[in-house]
Amino acid sequence: MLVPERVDKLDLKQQREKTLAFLESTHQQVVAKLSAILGFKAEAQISEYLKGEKDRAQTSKTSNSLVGLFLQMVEITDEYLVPEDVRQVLKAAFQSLTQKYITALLLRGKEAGEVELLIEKLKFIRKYFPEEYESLLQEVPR
Amino acid sequence: MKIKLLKNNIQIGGIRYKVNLSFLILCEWLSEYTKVGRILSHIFEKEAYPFHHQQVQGLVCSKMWELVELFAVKGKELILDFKAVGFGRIKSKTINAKHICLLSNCLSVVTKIS
Repeated sequence: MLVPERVDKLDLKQQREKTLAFLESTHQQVVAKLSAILGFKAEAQISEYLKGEKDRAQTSKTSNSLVGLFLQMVEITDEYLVPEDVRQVLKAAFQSLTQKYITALLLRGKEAGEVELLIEKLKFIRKYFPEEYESLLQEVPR
Repeated sequence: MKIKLLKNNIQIGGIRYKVNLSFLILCEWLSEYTKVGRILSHIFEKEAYPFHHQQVQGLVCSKMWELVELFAVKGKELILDFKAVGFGRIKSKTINAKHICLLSNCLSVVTKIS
């Protein structure tokens, strides 16, 4: 009769822990890679926007594509990932977008309407960044 | 935990994850292992052959862990290291955000059910 090879309970426990640790670390690498790709895209678009600030027509165009790009990222990730993963993946891109782009607009002092419009466009991301969105609202000049 | 398998989707405890084909194959293989485990356990009945029964359970679990680890290793190689492009196993010419999202989902699900 077939006799299976010996597998100790201790070995199994260690194997489970090893596999779970490997899964966790691989998942973290995947999230970091995705975050870097999307974050890099956002960063590049923002830099381009800030460089082309002098040309008003071009600026307006870039401004729309900038927000559009972020919304596209949310759309892609939202379709595939669960909200907690979307948040983790888009955190860097969202921080770049809000910190650099909105700060740049605010520093100009005459773009309150544009900031308000942008924040309005970003309204639906409250699902992923509720606290960050609330603090954004405080930034709108009164 | 309630698990439901749909076309390219898996629903676990009310959350629906989009997954790739290789993940569905992994599920199929894991299911085959559990079947083999059940059949062997039946051969080595718990009362008649307690030692062998225990060893069968251990062996099956061990093989399932190996399979899960292999899935993670290969997923990482093919998607994160871009090897899938060279093998011509994907439609697009490069690995894009969607492929990485799918891998992320698959790893989340595997971790969750492990």
